[in-house]
Amino acid sequence: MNISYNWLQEFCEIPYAARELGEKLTSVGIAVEKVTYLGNYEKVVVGEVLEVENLPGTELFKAKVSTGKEIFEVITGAKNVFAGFKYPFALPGAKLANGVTIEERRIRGVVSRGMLLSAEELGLLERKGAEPGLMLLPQEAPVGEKIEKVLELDDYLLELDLTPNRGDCLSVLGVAREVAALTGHRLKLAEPELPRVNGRCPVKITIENPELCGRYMGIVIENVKVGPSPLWLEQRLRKAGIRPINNIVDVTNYILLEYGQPLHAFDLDKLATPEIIIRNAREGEKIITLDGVERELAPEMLVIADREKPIAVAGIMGGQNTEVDDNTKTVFIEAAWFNPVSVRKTARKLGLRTDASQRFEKNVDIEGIKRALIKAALMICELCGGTIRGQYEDVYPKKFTPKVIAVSLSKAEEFLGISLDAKQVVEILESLGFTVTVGEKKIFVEVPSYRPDVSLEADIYEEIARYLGYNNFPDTMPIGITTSGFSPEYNFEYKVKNLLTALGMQEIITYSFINPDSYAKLGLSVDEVLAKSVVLLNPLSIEQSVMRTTLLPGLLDIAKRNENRQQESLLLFEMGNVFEKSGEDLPKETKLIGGIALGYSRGDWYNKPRKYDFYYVKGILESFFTSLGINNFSFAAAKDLPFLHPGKAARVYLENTEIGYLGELHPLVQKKYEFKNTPIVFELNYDLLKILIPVETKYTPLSPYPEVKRDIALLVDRETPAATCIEVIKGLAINTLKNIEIFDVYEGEKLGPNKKSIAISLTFSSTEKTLSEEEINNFIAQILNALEAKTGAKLRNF
Amino acid sequence: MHNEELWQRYMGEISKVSNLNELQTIKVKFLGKKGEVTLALKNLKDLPPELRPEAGQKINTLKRLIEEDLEKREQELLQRALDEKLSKEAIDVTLPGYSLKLGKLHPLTQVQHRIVEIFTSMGFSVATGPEIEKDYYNFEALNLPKDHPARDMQDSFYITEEVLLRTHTSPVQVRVMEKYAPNLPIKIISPGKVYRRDDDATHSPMFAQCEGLAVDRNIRFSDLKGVLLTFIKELFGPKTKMRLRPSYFPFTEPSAEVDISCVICGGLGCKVCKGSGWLEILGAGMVHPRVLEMAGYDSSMVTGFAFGMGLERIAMLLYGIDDLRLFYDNDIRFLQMF
Ligand SMILES: [Zn+2]
Repeated sequence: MNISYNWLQEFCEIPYAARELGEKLTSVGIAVEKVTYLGNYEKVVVGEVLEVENLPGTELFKAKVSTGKEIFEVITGAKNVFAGFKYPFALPGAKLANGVTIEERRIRGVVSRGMLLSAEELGLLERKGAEPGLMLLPQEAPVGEKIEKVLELDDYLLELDLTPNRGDCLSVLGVAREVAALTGHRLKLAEPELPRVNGRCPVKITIENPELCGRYMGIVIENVKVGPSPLWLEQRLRKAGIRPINNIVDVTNYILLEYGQPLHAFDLDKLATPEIIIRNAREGEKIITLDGVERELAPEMLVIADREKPIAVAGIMGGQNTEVDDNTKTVFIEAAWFNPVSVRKTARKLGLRTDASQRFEKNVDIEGIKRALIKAALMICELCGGTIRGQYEDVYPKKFTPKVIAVSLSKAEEFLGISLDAKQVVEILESLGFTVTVGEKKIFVEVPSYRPDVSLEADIYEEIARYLGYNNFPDTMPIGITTSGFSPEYNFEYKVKNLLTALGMQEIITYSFINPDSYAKLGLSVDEVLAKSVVLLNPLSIEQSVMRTTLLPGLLDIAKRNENRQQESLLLFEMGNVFEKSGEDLPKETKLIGGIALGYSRGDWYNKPRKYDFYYVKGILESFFTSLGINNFSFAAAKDLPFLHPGKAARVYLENTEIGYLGELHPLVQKKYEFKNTPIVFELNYDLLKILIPVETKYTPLSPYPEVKRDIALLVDRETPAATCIEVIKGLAINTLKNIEIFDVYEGEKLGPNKKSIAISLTFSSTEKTLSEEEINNFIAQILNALEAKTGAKLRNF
Repeated sequence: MHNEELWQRYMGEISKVSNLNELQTIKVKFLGKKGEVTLALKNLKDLPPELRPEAGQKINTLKRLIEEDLEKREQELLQRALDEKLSKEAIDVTLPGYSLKLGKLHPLTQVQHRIVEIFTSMGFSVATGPEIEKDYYNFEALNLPKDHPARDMQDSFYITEEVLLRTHTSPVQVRVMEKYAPNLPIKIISPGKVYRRDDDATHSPMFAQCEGLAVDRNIRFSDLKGVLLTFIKELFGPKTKMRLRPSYFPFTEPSAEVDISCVICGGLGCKVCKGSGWLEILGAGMVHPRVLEMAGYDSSMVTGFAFGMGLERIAMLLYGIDDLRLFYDNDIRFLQMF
């Protein structure tokens, strides 16, 4: 909403300059985004054309223009340049509002000194349907006067950014009420009176649905002459960003701006009979609105109709069938209150938001309708030469009864944390238009009709607080029980993230919605994944249309993006939710940790960069688990994950619970993404992980007796997993065997085909005694026997 | 005199010694089994018995002198040899150390943590909730019934008519209140991802928020100011000023926009603050009585305040980042700056 500073001054004396007023309004919650001076013209004046002649051989005209002091010869292409008329004239060296300067120019051999201007060249909206050409100024405009004076542009525009609760401020009057409260000056609001007229309104008004139309007023004006509005009126509209159309429509728009009450003018002669029916649209009914679009109506929409057809969509836009045009003689002016929710729904459904609908949606002042209608009628009579026929009609089924809110000042003090002066509180509320009755323990505040946003005690607290000034309140701390703020869940999550960074991984954050094509890229069945996916009804694009069920697409996309930017050492992780249909009201959300390694570890002047491979990332995960106190993790080959290399993939287990996977990206997926290097990826279920972590670690005494280390090298089949050998050894439950560690794996021709050697270091120690050579040898023999029996492993002879 | 001459000879030879081997040779020559001093001691028996004690004493003194001198010289030579060896082992200490790659937390996580730390130290604990929410928790329980005009402020991504991606973390507050009501007090913050149907230079369809809530028997509007001022000074520095402007949120009454003095220009006016000297960083207010009632509190006995902020905005101010899109572009060169 844009408000003219000068217009505001008609309603209230303003002791502040425009910018200062803007700051004051902002401080009470009427946010003024910007204050702009409108008269930024230099050397643009009212010019009177004295003589006009055609420039031979051209379609141009040579005009002599007087500024009162001097006569200038200018060339213009405008067709509406006539001797004896006045136009905006830019003197040589003039500066227009958009910063363009006008210099002397030579046109077809003739020097043109200055320029006659159109509205557009002045940065103003042209009248709708106007022939292109110069802006005609009224005859009474003084020659040589500065254009900003004549066009009322020596003014400031306040650009408001209103909150949706303050529909009342979508008008000059509404803002003026706040200004009056701010300044303490009286609001100058006249109640216009109709001249004495005889007879009833010739139009019969019937409201069929009083829920949706709480009040409907109308008045008939006959013998109007439709034409352009006077300049001052057009200028008021232009400043607010509304294009002038004709005097009738301009007056309705003027009232909309001034009082916030949308009006509509019908050409009464175009109605079937002089009857107005406010009813719901009928199934299949259509209307061509003023913008020329045919609209299909639905039964929940409210329309204004005559006996035969809808003639307007209530509160949104009129119909072409009853539009005021140049030949209109009799107009019916409507002023009404329509249900905000209904207007909002209809406007949404039709995709049609207008200046009118925006105001009805925010609740117009049901008690201000009469004022608006009468003022409009009087203006039309004055400006369009019409006469009022009969009284106005007023159908008012939902008569307004003011709310009264009982406010306890002591409670207000407790709530606000400030001591209040009862007299000051009453003053504030009264200046805002509330009627206050002071009772014994409470004050009783009657809410005016234009403030439907105020209904509770807390709303009154806010009115008091914003006028006391939020910044004048003390800064205190809550009293009461001390709370600890300790947040173990959050802390653990933060620890986990930090641990991953310490292991070299960089955190990324990607969008939770992904492209369903990602699943095809991973070699998964899109239909199958989508069947369990949460899909957005109204995504911004297909790329962001499905809630992810895996972090992998995000990781791959970001890794690829970085690889494209020549980043060759990527170790990334993300911790975030994935989503899956659950059969419950809400989908299941699971927090995962996903990671990707791509390229090379960063080398240095001594160490060669090392290509990230399966074991590099596995090492990270092992350290990660161990740091968290998890020792019972294991990895098992997984051949069936379609997006992973079937021979380089593993499922990850804690105890016996599967918590994720780790593996090399399948070469085909790698190809689809066009990765230069091979990504290693993993995902872990954080929600499972955090509950499987051992709660406490128990101390085991250190042995005072020496440890004995024995290395054995086993010859096994290539396919035998190392983990199986370890398990076999562990299965023997030798309680003096403290540590088992694989220190070498070797494959080579001399071992024979399909064989490999695994070297294992075994550490024995007892808390009771020094172990004898014999005891150790027995253990080793026991181990070798078990290994041979279960895996066919043989002790390798060097 | 014989001894004196021996000493002179020893001194003559030892002074030419430059390494341990040579020293060893001299040692053998004078003190060895067949060394000159050893021989002189042996020769004592050839002297008449009455001269032996004195001569013996002298030769023993000489022996001790030589031993001490040799010991001293040996230590010196050892030291010199060690010095030489160490100096040969010298490395270029200016070369970089072996690369131990460390990752970093995403700047939004870092900023979130700073905020969480400040509020947990003031007794607020962290609460979380689902990112996909019921319309009831995201809107209705926050005094935003269907067809409320303020719903336009937050264009949402819907899953069904009743389920959507949360547009703020406020539903967490509702869930916590519902769970604890009528118990008191509640003091929580809820950081997390939120979603709005907006994508341009200044809006991301997913972004991060941190909201806070305090509910108790005696929470005052001035407490909201005190807590926020403390937070702002901790986060942006003790000189930061705070300004509140009345505003409107359906779930708070009264409501305020909270500005801080511009962290770039200190309030003088610059491009970042559009010349105003102030930056908007927070929305806040007293919890709307209807919100308290819906969650199960008696709003005539219980009051509360709530606030919320966008983490991207705060990260941009703290780090001087000028493009919102960088956060989700995830260029590691960007991420590793923080
Ligand atoms: Zn600044």
